[in-house]
Amino acid sequence: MDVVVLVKQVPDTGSNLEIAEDKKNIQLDNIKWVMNPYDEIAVEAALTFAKEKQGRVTVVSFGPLRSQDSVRTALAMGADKGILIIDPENCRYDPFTTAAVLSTALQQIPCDIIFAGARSVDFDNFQTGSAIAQNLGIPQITQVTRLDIIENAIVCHQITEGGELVKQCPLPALVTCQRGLNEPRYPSLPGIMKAKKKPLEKKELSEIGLDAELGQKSKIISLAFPEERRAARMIEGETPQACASKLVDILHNEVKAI
Amino acid sequence: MVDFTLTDEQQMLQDTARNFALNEIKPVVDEIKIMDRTQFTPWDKVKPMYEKASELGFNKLLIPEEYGGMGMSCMDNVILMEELGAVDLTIAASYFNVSITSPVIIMHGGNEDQKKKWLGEIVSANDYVLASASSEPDVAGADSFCPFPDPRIGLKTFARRDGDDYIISGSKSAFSTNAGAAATYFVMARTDLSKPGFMSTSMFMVPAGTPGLKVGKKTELIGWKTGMHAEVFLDEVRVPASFRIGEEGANSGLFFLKALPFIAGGLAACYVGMARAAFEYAFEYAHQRESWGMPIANHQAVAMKLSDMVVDIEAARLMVWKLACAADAGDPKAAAVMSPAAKTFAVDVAIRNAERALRILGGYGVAQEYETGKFLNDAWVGDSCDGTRDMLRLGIINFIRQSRGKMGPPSMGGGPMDGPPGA
Repeated sequence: MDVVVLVKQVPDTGSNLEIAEDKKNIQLDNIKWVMNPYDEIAVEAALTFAKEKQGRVTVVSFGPLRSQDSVRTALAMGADKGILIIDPENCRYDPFTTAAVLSTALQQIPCDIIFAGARSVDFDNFQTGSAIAQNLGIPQITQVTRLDIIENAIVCHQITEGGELVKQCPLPALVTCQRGLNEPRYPSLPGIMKAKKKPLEKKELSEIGLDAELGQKSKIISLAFPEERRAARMIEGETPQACASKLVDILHNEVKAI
Repeated sequence: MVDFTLTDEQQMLQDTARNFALNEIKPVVDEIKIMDRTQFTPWDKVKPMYEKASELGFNKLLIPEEYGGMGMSCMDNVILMEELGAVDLTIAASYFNVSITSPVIIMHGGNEDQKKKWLGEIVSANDYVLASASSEPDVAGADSFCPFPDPRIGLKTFARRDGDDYIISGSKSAFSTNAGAAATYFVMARTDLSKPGFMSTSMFMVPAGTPGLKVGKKTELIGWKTGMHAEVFLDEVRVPASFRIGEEGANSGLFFLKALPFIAGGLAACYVGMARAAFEYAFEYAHQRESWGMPIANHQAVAMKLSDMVVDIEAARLMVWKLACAADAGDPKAAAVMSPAAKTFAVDVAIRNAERALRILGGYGVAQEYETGKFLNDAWVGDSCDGTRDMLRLGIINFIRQSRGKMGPPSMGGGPMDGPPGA
């Protein structure tokens, strides 16, 4: 059984993010880069699946060279092999293009099941996994919180607002992993020591038959931080009635909410 | 060429250690903090987490691969210890550092059978903690460093040879680390009370549960609340002669030259971690707390303290890393100068940073619910454990004076103690 897991390197959510001068990206210096936390869940799911089915896990990533650290982390967690498609544009592609690149790469390697994070915590598009399944023409189940394996098929649970869906699909399939599916393991010391000896292929876009001019369906026009919330304004008055009266006055005349 | 860049593996080890400490150790520390200390044993709370750490390989980091360990370095251990120490100094320094570094004594002093037996036991049990039982209630800790050939000075615990066994009797002080948690105790005992301590002290492995070995009442320290310290009593404890590590009476040289840099380096790294945690805590506070309409970090009196904390952390870490590199290279100077220097300086820094943090927090600094009191108490325990800072300083200068012919032979912890009295 060939198991593939997709990982992306993202800024640590604890990093101090600043918007770059062009207002289209964040400043990339002084950021601690980590594996997308949802992809850690995907790696854990892939390793668990592979263990049950005596499969091998290949980690695939599309990103700048530094992303090899995240691939290596997945190898230290227990994956068998890594493939990094080098992104010449430093993560400026939209999910459509990212999915096109990864789909092309995945068509060139055997895969019976693909695990991906439900979202990446940088641009939060929730799209890449789904778009890959579409490109490859395979079933997908998204935002999975529980996964059971039956003969040549998987049964997945998906939490919806106020309910739970249970879905089944045949393999090959793509699964995007949501929090609650598992607790990702830590890379163990033996895992860390073995990771360097595991194969990690680095490929340029041309090596998988793609042009560096990939084009994209959408682009970022500008980035901005949300406005800081203003401090609460306290209404003072002698009696509750007086306070209520002042509040109504403000809501009506100043805020014009009522 | 000097290079402080960590390897890819070391960076991954650092990340794993940091994440493990925050996600697995912190909840244990927080739980113990609010518990009634008379009603529980810290080890019971720590043990599940320790087992999880052992599954990741922390417990066998230094043990060579041929004995089932990781075969990693002193440098790797100090990276691990700094991260664990930054979340809880005590858990890092006692359960982890003592258990990870003490096996170095067996690696260097044990014969092949002993290595197979003891290292094999350590790597095969996830809850295998080691304890050191050396100091004694009526013997000054400094007596173990005494160079005078006076047989009345030194440990009183005595190991009597009886055929193929030793029978050990005596009592160990209330500061025996990991007492009550340990699977095996490293017990220092004299084998000939007519010879000076430095010629008659041996190290024995005594498994918990050996008839006659008893752990006394748990000792309450001002800090190190997650740790286990207690008296250890040995009443006619019979162990096979094969449980003695090294030649009879050869403990001192073995301990100082080979194992000390690993033990001291790990301990010092824990204190660097704690000093770092104190800085992080004070730094955050100084940006939230306001006076005169601005965060107090904008006031120079606070900013300078924060800066001094960073300077101290950087310096202490450099000393620890230098010691670790020297230990890995087998440099004999690692034991005599760098070990006591790194340990004493790291504790100096931890105490200074705990005090600075406390002062930055002002009134809140002395409130129990803030972390500053814990930092200060944990830091001060380091003043006396594994040699007081004064003893270590004396050891350093005595070794240097002696090696330059400015005084008599080795004195006060300055090196292997096999000569006549010092000047």
